[in-house]
Amino acid sequence: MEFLLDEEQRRLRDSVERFVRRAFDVRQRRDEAAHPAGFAPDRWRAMADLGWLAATIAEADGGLGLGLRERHIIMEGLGRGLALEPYTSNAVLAADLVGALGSDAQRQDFLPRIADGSLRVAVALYEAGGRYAWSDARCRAQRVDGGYRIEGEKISVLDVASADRILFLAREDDGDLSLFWIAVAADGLERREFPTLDGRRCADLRLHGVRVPEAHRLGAGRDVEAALDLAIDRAAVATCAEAVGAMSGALEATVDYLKTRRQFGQPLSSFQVLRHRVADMVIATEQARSLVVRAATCLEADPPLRRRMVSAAKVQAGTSGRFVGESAVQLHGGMGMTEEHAVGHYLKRLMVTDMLFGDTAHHLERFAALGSD
Amino acid sequence: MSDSQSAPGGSIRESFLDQDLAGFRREVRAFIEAELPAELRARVERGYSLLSREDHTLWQKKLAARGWGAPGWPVEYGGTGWSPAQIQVFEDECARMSCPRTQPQGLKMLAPILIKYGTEAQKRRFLPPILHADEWWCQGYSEPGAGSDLAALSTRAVREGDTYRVTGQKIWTSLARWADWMFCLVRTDSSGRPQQGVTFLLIDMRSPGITVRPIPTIDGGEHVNEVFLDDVRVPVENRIGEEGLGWTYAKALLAHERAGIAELGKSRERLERARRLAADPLVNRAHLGGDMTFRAQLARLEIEILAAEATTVRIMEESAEPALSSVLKLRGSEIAQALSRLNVEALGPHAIRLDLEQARRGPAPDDPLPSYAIGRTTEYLYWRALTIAGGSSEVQRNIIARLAFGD
Repeated sequence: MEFLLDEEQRRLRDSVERFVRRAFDVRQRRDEAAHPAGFAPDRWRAMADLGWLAATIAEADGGLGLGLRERHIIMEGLGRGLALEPYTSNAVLAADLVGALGSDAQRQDFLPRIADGSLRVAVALYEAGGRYAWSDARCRAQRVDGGYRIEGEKISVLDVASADRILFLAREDDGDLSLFWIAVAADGLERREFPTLDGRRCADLRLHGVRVPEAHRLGAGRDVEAALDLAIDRAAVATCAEAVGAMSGALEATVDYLKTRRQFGQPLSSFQVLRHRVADMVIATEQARSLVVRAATCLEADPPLRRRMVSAAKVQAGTSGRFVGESAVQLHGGMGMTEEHAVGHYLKRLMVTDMLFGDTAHHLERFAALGSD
Repeated sequence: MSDSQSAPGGSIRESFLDQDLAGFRREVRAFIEAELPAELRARVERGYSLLSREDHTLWQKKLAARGWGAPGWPVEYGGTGWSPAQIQVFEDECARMSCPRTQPQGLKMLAPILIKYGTEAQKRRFLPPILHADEWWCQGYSEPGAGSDLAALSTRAVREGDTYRVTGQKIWTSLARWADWMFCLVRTDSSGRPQQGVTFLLIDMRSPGITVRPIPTIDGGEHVNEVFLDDVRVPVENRIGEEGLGWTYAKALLAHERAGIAELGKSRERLERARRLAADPLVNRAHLGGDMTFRAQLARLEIEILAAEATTVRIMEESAEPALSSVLKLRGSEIAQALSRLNVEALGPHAIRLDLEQARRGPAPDDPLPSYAIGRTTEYLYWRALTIAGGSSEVQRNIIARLAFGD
């Protein structure tokens, strides 16, 4: 079955839904975000205990060896809960990159600790002016005695605040891209912290001659660019699943509000215009949900098909997400503009999910350039 | 044949129609260049929602000193006597050059009601301080139970001798913390149709019994408030017109509020801003302006602005088509929202950062982006309210439909 969940997956989905309903409350979000790491440590620990961080890491590397469907069930829950935790950076992107490009020693060293939540990683891809063209990276990794010397800047790196390590993308002297495993506290690493639009943390990084030993280069002898392309595509689809979760949350909140709020002597849910708007929100959400599942099955296909389907899902999720987020705010009237209500937070999360791993415009262009079947 | 090239910041329309307007535009621009402090302009660029009462007061006083404090008012009360086209050019230029946006409550919402329905004593008392920004006003209309259905308002005013005793709650009240006065719709009679028992009162915000509570909004600001009224005494001479006719007065001027909210000048400025962002190598190494999708989006939005500008002049010439002010409110708000979104999209991954702190404190040398690029996501979020406030888009469509069907 392509879309129906099997029994194990249904159990996981139910468990995720229960956890999200119990553990996430928009009223506590501000306090949680005020923690030094940007989120409350006990919920991260709880996610680790549930095996969420280990979900798609290979069993041989200390993980549960589950598939992408399971990953996306978790991502949807995180979107719905408006999670602040650095799940994508760690359990998705870093886990995939280390899994694909790490040497045996590197995988053994890093993956079990990512899986249990004790090691946290941020992945630095984008540069000022480069938009989403990470493969045009201008950061330099110069070969020096025993390793490398890294120079350059990255912007909007998610989850640096809670990270111990950064996976940093730079170009070597021979022109090839490589990933470097750098300590957040490394000599020569300057960071500027910012909140993100949606309540999380990011940073701009400036590296002045940061020394990295050979053992901390990822992808020696491998096609790093191809592996990055795949990992970023996988992260993009995971983010689409998160967006679908946020859309569901926004839709549910909107339906509840319209049923309760009365004007002109009736509940707002009795007005046809508003009912149709909700119907349009349902259409947008379900189309995104469908395409995300299908795109996920294409993540193992050849790059041209994979990239095309991933771009389609990202465009659909981005377009649907904007529409659902904006509509949810609009249908809540003045209440939708308040910090106190969840819908504004859903809108902001949906804006950020569009901005991660290539926005709608980027993926529309990529899809068009890839031609047709 | 007239020159079909547009002057920088000018429009083809006006150079075709009226050479005098081009001269007027230059005069306005020269005034702004001379009088608007650069630091204030930079702050407006980052987001006018960040300005203080002092900022707005400073600018309004400069305008008033020039005789330009109230372009829409009758000349005998301090208006400029400009043609509708001139008013549009003036507002357009102020927005394009990032002047502080005129706060509409006193100047554009209350003043027309005072002028039309107020006593001479009330006009003498209240109009000059509005014109000179010596007194600031907020609007006490919406309530938690009365949003789109404003007639359902229930803030109660009981006549006792020569005062009213007012108790209730208003919400979404912009500027309530700065304001010296509030113009307020209150219920003096519950017996008949809801609209018939509403009275228009002017309430001193320093009155005992008034509590103002800010409402944090999704853009990180606190522009709007709840205002609690607990046995607030209002002298009868601060009632506008007659008891029970407040709804009529307010409704007559809601059309003004609708037209004012279009603010196409700021949309034009955001169009230019999007082009600037597209061309800035810090933001887009590969000039986004060459991207066909981006260019087409900008072109469409500029055309939508052109249509709305033309409609604005029609309204100001008092066209007989009654739907126009709702049309303009709707289109103006939708265009502004689309442009704010385009500005965010032009930023790419830069937009993931929330730059509210930077916007508030001003540029520092090692900031990731220049001042003009700051505050774009905050503005996008703040402007989600444009289709909600001032009569939501749904309400505007109802008005237009009712007019079309003659209901």
